[in-house]
Amino acid sequence: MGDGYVQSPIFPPTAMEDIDVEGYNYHGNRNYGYDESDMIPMQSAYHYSETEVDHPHHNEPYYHDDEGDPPQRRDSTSSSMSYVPSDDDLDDVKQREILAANLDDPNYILDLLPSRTLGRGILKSTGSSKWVRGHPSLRRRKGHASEEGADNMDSEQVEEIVSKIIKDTEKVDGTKGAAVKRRNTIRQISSSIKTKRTIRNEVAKKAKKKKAEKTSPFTACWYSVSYSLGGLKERISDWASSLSLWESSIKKIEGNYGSSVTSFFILLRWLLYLNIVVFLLTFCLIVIPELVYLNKHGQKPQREDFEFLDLITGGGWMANSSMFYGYYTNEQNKYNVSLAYLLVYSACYILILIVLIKSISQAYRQYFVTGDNTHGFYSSKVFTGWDFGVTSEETAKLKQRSIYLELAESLSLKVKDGKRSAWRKCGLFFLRIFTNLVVLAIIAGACILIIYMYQKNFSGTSIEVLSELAVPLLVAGYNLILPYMFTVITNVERYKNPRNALYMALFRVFLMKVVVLVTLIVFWLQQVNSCQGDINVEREAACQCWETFAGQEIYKLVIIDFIVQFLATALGELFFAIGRRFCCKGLTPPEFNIARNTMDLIQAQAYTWIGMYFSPLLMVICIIKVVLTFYVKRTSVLYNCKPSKQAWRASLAKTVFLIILYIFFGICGFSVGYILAQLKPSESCGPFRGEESPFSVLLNVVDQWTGFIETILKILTSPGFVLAIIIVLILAIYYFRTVKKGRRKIIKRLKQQITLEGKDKRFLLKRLRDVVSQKTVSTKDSMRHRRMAEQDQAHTGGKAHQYKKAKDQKQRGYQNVEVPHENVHSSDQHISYPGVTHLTVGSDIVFHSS
Amino acid sequence: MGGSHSVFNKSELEEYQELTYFSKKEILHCYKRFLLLDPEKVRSDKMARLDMETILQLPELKVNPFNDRICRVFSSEEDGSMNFEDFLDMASVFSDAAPKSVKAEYAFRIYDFDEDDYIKSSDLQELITRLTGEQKLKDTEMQQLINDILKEADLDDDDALSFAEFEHVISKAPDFLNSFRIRL
Repeated sequence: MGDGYVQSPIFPPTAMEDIDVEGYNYHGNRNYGYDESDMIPMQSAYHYSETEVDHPHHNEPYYHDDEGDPPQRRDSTSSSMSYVPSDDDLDDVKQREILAANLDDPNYILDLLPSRTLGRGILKSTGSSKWVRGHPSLRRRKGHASEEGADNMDSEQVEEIVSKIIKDTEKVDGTKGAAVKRRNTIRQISSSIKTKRTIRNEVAKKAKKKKAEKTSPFTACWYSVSYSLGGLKERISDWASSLSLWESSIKKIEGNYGSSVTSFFILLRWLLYLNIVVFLLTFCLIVIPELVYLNKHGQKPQREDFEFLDLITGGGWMANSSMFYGYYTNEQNKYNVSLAYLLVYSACYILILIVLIKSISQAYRQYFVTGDNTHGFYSSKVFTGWDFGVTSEETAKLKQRSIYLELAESLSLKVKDGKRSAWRKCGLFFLRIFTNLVVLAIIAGACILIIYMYQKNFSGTSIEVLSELAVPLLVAGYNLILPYMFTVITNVERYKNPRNALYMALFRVFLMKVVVLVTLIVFWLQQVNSCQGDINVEREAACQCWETFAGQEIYKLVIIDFIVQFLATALGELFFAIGRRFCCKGLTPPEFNIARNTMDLIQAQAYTWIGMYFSPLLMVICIIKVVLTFYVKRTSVLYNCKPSKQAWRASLAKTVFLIILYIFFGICGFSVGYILAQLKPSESCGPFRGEESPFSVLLNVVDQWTGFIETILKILTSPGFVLAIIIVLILAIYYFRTVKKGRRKIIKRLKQQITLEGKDKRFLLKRLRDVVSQKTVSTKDSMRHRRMAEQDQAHTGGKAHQYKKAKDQKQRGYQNVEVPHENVHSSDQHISYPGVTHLTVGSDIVFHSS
Repeated sequence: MGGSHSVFNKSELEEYQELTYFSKKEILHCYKRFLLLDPEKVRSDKMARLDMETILQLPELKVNPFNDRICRVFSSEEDGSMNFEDFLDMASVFSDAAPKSVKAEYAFRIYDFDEDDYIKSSDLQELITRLTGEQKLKDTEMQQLINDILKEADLDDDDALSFAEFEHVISKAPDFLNSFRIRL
């Protein structure tokens, strides 16, 4: 009679009807008709074991033996278990006794809820999703911590995790892939390195055993191959991480100016890598073979005298150098230069396209798909608002200030939303129409000016350096001045949200740059057509080799753009520094304008992309330019700028800039594609001389092949095949769209379900609290009853009476079962808990007090 | 790096590499940073435990409003003191390579000021107060903000964010990976 237990079954709705007094509380082994597999793990932890249920005394009524104190919570090592997963063996009686003992404390029950247990990171191993989510946390819980001191978790947990990992044979089948997977799993465990090491060693030990069990020669061979491959991959990533350029500068900038300014520099670095790859490809496969060939055959074109100015204009001696298209020959004997030229450039453009699309889709996923901006504005502001990379005190203060301003602003905006009167709205509408017209006029004027300058150049007789550089200077001037004009115009428009104003200004700059670029390209390409008709003397240079002409133009643009930018930055900052030192000390340093700088960078990159076809070595110039830009901008940022107050979201900015970059690339790629496929190359220069179009070089080669390959190529290029591919693609799009729609619906449903579950949980917890508090009261009651019973016993001296009394009390308790939502008045420790019948998942909770 | 090569032998380095998201070079860099915090102590015993004040001298943590929380969360003694392994652990979680799920879990712990595994409104208040620093939101604004956050993120209406709910919010916050990162 040493033990007493209180049972509180949570009946499934059907089991509720046919309950009887005897079966209710005194027959612990009554089958309540629920399926164990339906239980959530937490509940199975509470489930009484068979041995306990078959207690010899359980058919007899008996009273609580303890002296009325609420049961003590037992602090022991295993109580730091958060909960026992359902698939684990539940035979550990002792563990459950402890759990049951702790159930008297509602707060402890709260701690047992699966939603409170962390550590699910471990379960999301890469590749295999066999792992059940919701794993015991390795975190030492406050209040239930084991007393082992330094060890962060008890050995049971380690064992459990190890057995989990071992169970998942995929992770221990001995291949390197499995080892990597295993390692990723262990890495993701959120606990100290010490613990992870223990786990790793255990797993390794067991894995070795397992590996020894099964190895056929073939698998052994496969293991060794995949092992060495994995090792190679690791070494490459190791090597790549040591390659990352400018890491310390970027860190310094991030520490002082936040992650949004850093995104500019990271984009710059990324473009540099891309350019280097393209440069290596073209240099190795086009430039070097050409140089080797020309050296062998001594067909060096006569050199003109070196002139410094030609370095800027790309004319004179430079025009006939390997810098430009015209230098390359259509040598086809040992190495087919023309074919190489065509294929390498096609490959480069495709490579850039793939890289761009890949990074855009990544950024897009990160921003637009997972983060829908309307939902979770405040929570994302608060939870991800702090830039952990900030290291300077000033920036930290500014950051705090900007977070405060943004929060306060959006909170007040919510209150004041829609306060603008109709009259003002109307005025604003016309104002914006007007400003937009002004912007369009400015852009159109800029383009007309470019064309005018070109035509004047051709008609005018004076070929001075300045007139040759007129257009590049004009474009560089646009880049310097127009963004400021647009910013001013946007400020006039009075946007409510500063971010909208920012993006509006950005969009206008973007529009200007695109239009200028398109104008230039169209103008260059027109040279081809206009040459064929009348050949006049002034245009001779352009007509002799229009590709070289275009290359020179782009070369000039790139060089001048860089010089102007460099001078503007340097002079601007110099004047500023002087001004601050000597006249007005109150002059605040400018902010680093991310949008403008990034746009300039993107534009320069666009010129590179279009120019690299006309000028294989332009890449060298661009690489040098990018590197120098990095140092110039870094110096400018670190010494002459103050941290930006503007709310730039790094991820959004990244996505937007990548999309802009992509649009520019689209324009360039399309133009080059058009040139390759349609335009007639120059007759007297370049690798494609004498061909109808560059593409025909490939056709000539294909014509020489016979049989099978030719047929395949013909099929591949036939309209029917292309049509089939398009149809398949459309079907695929349709399919994914449907799937997406379905998923949306499911998400909506699941959200509703979460809300319901949450309500259920709260309801249950409240009830549980009531029960526990009542139990505390009732144990005191039971004391009294017991004393009364003893007195009864003394009076009547019969055990039968005691039994009857208990049964009476039971019946009273049972009546309460029939009237849910009323206060339970159970006068002894047999507590029934009716309200919980609303729960959808059946389980019985057993309180066990010692 | 000088002597730091000899501090760890190859197998130790490989082990750290396996347990963190770092390459060998980065591990040595971390060690260098750790060494600089208290050169004498660390040089005599590379597993020396530095107390929280020393750790907070690290510029990356110095200005962080949650620096004490970070120390506590990553400290294996739970008192904010760290040895090299704790430090490496921290650096690894804040590194670029660590996946979102791992970062989210640690972010949750950092923001769970009272360590009850729930982010309640008191935690949120503390969080916002630390975020805004010297500027203080008005009480009504604060209440409004907390309510808004709970409305957005608290899926089961229990006025507290569990880890699952927090992770859900984080998964929708695109800036998380950019901001929850420390370049050592």
